[in-house]
Amino acid sequence: LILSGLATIAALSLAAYPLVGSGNDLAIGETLCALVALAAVAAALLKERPAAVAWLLLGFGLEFLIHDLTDGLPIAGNVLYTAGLLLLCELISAASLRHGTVFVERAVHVQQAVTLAGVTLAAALVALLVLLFGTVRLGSSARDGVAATTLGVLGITGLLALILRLQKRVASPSSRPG
Amino acid sequence: LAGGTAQSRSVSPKLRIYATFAAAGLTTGLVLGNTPLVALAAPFAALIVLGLVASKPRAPDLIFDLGADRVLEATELEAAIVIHGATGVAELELLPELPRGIASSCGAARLIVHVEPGQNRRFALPLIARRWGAYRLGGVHIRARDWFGLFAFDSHITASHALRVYPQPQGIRKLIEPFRTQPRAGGRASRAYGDGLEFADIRPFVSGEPTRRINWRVTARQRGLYVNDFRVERSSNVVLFLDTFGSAGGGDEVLDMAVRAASSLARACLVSHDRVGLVSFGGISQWITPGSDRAQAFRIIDTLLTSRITASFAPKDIDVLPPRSLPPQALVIALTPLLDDRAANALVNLRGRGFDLVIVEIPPPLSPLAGGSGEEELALRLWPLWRDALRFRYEQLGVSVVEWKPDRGLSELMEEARRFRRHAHRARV
Repeated sequence: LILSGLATIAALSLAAYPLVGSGNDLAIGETLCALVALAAVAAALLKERPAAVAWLLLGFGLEFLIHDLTDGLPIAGNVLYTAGLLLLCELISAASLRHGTVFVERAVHVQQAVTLAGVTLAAALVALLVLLFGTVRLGSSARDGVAATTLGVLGITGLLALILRLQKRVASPSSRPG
Repeated sequence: LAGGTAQSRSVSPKLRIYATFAAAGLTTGLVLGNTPLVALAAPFAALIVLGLVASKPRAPDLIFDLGADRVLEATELEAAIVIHGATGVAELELLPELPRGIASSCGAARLIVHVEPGQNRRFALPLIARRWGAYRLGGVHIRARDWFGLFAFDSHITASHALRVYPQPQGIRKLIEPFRTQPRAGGRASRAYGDGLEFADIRPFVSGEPTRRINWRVTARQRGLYVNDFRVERSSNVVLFLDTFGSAGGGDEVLDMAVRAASSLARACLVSHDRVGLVSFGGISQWITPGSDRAQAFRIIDTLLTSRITASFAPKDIDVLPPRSLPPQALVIALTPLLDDRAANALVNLRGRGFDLVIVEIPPPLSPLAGGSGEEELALRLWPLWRDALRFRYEQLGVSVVEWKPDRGLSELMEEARRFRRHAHRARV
């Protein structure tokens, strides 16, 4: 119940924050995205569907993108939004693992709280670092731009390769540890 | 039960979702040259990398201790799970497979615990045996998760614990007295006179009789020596006849009540030093020859626990039973729903062979059909009449038929049977 309550508060805050300062012309798009995300949060909490996390990420991600493209976000807002989004996903995942009648040891609660706090802080830190590095200009030449793009593409390719590897592992037969 | 079997490692859906979101966010951010979007996606990618680097979870060894192998119904069982985590587990989920009649008494049958490296921990799992039966506990599902919940390590422990849950015994104030007793010492006052405790009669003194039997009051009044006669305490053979041909109403209510009654009667008869046997007569017939030792109660109840209603259309009579299972002149207490003709005819046959028979009828829980046709309603009206006719047929043979419903105690039932037998003449068949 506590996890669900915290998740609801986090979801409402994330949905409301960009809408407060948005312009009138694109508020509909952001509102729709926020509504989709909130519906996904509700589905995840009420019907215990962990897959709804994907929809809420999509909704909040689009809301964030639209708002950033139109109005822009300050660094602090960006960091808070990122940390809040990760916290929300973690809360929903934790809540979905504890559905039904289950006895949870106190040590697990403590460890979960510590992990959530640590993940949130780390997310804020990572977001802040990315934003700070984003302000640094490596150079003005086209070569620098190409190098940065190549590095980014390599990173994304690596991430995609990781996704494919994980998909394969799920499909592979059970492995017996030695 | 130690060690795990069928171990497998799986990736949580969260990891795939995070990876997809991170990839999409970073790609879009790169294409659009949007740093905030990259900042939004980067923590998700960082969490994945952190999860991959962190230690992999592994299901620990565990022992499932049931605490007992025989318990009474509706009593608690102090089961426990002992975990030895060599590597430690951030979050260990335990899901014991409990059969239908066994439940967790604290409401939660699923445990989520934390195990430190090298730590031995014992978790109490209070269980309650809700229904009698012979159970085999189906093992424990184990799922170990890492700190970030990205990977899970599943394992299953196959159980070999057998648990026997005995029906809760019902108190019986006074048992049915058999018409004939056996020439063995027991706890029932027989019709024969001799050295016993229960007073029977007064008669004139015969030379050679012990003087301690003289009734001095009567002797003084009658001016002649009179002695007291006593009933000899003898035992009898009691056979519990369980009809397992069929039930009605779609449930096991009839068998459930029959087994409860049979176990209580067996216990009470053995306390009275009777020799008690069991015949389970149905699709699969089982029997236990009468005995009076302490282990006989366990033999009978263990057999009752494995009793099942088995559908069978094969013609069957009591000839299939070995003669030793039905000793001559035994008191046969039949527990039957009186549904199957084979069981009904077998009871008539038993009476015809001179057995002292008492029928405990356990009516099946049938309710009228909602929206049934006229013919069905007529059939439902005829059925009780047919059962009345059957009861009348038994009563004509000197057999008492007592109807047992859940709101009646066994003592009341025994008293009704005793009342009938006090006045019923013993018919020749």
